[in-house]
Amino acid sequence: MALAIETNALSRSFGTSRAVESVDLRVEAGSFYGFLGPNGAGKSTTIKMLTGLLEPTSGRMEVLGQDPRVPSQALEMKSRIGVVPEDLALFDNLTAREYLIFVGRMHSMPGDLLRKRIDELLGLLSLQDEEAKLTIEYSHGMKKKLALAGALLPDPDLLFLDEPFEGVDAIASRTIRHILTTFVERGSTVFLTSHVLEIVERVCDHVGIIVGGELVEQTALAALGSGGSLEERFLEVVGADAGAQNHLSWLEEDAS
Amino acid sequence: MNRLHLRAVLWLRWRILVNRTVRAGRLSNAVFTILLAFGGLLCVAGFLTAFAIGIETLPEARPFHLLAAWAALSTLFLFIWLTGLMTDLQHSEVMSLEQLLHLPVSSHGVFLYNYLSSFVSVAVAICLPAMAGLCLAMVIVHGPRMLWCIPLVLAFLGMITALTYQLRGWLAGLMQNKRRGRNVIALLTFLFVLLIQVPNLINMSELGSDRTTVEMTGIEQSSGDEERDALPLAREEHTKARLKQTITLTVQILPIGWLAFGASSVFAGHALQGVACFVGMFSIGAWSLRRSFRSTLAAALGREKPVRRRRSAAARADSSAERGERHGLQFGERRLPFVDDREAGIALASLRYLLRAPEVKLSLLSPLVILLMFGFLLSRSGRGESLGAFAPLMTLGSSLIVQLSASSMIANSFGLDRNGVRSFLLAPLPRHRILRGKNLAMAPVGIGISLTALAALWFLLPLGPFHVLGACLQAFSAYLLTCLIGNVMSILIPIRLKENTLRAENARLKPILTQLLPLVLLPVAFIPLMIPAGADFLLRLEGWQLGGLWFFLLHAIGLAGIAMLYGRAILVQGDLLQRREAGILEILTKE
Repeated sequence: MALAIETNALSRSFGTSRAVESVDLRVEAGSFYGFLGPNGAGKSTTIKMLTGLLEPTSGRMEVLGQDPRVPSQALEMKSRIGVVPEDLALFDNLTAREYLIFVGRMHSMPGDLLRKRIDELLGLLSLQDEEAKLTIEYSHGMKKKLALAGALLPDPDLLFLDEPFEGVDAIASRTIRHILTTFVERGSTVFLTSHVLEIVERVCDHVGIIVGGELVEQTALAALGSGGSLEERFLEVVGADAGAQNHLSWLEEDAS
Repeated sequence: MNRLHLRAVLWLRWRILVNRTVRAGRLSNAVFTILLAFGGLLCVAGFLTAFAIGIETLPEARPFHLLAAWAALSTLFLFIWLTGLMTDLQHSEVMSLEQLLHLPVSSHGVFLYNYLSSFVSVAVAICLPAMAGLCLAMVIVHGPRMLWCIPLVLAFLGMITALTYQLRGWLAGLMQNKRRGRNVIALLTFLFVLLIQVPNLINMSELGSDRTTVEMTGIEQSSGDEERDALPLAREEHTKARLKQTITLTVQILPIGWLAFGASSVFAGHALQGVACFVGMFSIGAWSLRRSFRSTLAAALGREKPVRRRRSAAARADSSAERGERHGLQFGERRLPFVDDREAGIALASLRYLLRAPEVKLSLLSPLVILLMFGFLLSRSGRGESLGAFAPLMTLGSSLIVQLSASSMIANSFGLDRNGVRSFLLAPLPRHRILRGKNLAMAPVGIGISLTALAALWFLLPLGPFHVLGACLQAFSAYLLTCLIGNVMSILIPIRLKENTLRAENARLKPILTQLLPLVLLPVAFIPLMIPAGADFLLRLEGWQLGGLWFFLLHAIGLAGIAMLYGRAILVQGDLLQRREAGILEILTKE
């Protein structure tokens, strides 16, 4: 099967600290890939490198068959991907519609198609009632939804989503899950990071687990089935110590 | 009152101040320490100086001298106090009662502690010792009746702090809406700057006014040698009398002057006026505190006033959609003639958010104010005609002012986008088009304000049609040169900015020096633009009155050259941006 993302010994350091260490990712085209890891594990750094927002220190990578480090290939790649970065990429002083028009024009979308898709996206993500507001006035969840709308607007082949469900309400979460599932069903690829393991378990078909900058697990979710839940496997590979102090002394005293 | 709570709030205020300074880097830290030491010295020196001057001069002083001294001290206090207030307004942590209300303290307590802690300020630390020193000197020199000055000083401090506390409460309510809040801060800062400029403007206006010149010229023509010799003295006396009259009237009318008026009245033996001033200031302070307690608490607890109903967001959205339908295309969807569609998209989106950003509005107002003041003075002096040969050079000066004001934005155009910069760099289009789109977005500012200023200069200066046309071309050339320099700076030395300001987030030496770099680079880059004005000047000296034809032609040639240079350089800058974009993101976006 063709690979949407392939990396070889991809690494990134910040000074003396190594944020990502020799990561070998294999993400098949048409898959729903969940990229998991504890806080500070290197998930966002990896996404930044894959989307061309951060230079790797060493290693090789290909996204949709293009190398993000080669300028001409980077532009080709960017025209085929959608991204919801960690801190989003919104302009405080634009309304949702204005932002989406801007994104659409960057992708040279014809005016009629652009308007039609914007209306659909704003309606679907319940942002149509907030059109008069600037994004600076949005809640975090609304900003997330708008960023997702911007990523979906050009109908990309590959979506990079950094914590798309964080701060999003249950209704919007279900809508987003439905959109993403449909997106994958018709052959596109989703690469997402999330802390919500239940959601990953429900929607993803492949997972990769990164700990301390190293990819410690990469497998089809179905292959995990026999070994218990994703949470158990995650805690196992992350190395959460069951014996570590996880209680407060005064609560224990009161309980006894 | 719980002393522990009060101490905790005072400590909180102090830690906020210290942390803010420490986070700002070593330089700011050193400056803060020096200022602190200097402030301590100033406290002692202020007390001793005021006391010594009082002891020395009070025996022979007249009521007006005392009034002027207290007025000066009050003005100094107000200036420092307002400066502190403006700084506080930009840091919500000091204003916010919500951060304390969940703690086991009564709402009255929270309000009182917060209010009392506002006395811990630079203004009080600097001015109160001086006021105390003067009070003491007055009591020693003129007896116990001058003890009245102490309640007057306290009432003055109470009134000012209560009034500003009320203002802050009101502003806190206003600023609950983020969008409005940012504009409120921008507007207040602007008004504050204008307020400081008013005396300067009045002074310059008086100096340059036709009336003064005509009066004096009339006297000079009609008088003999002796009278002409006495002229400077008469002028000085006249100015002094007017100043005295203005100060006396001001302190009588404005409550902020009642400390000065009260103190001089007591000194002159009018005790009743002193009592009236005290009662007036005390009443205003008490009323303000009462009002601010109610409004601040209402804002903090989210109590709604039964005021006129606002249109719901949905209704606004509906009308906005209707408006969009009525006008057809949205602003960001419009096509621009002769401009690539993607560049137009960048330009229109950038222009839209730039014009909504309060920090940009504020920055754009400054060249307008400078040009307005300049134009006002020029029109009052009536010297426009006499400037003759220098008029073309002055059009370049106005362009330079505009470009320097816009340079803080053009030279950090990606920094201004904040997190939005990712949208540009994720966009699948050649990087030189991003730069061109962003340059185009600033054109209405860089060229528009220059042309507006030029239109005003046309009325004030002896400029012929060719001069005006040449100056228009000059505005375009100046803008393109600014863009070329600004693009390089945006790519090579982007600066992460604080939210809602054009200040660097990290107030370290390097970003501050970087922000000042355009002040050096732009005047140097503009040197070639002086050639047409220089040529025009020399031709006039030689008696070649061509009405600015050469000025126009040279600028036309210059613009063609600069446009060609821009066309080639932007491609190189695009490549540079491509290579530097990961570096730019590392600086501008949070890790």
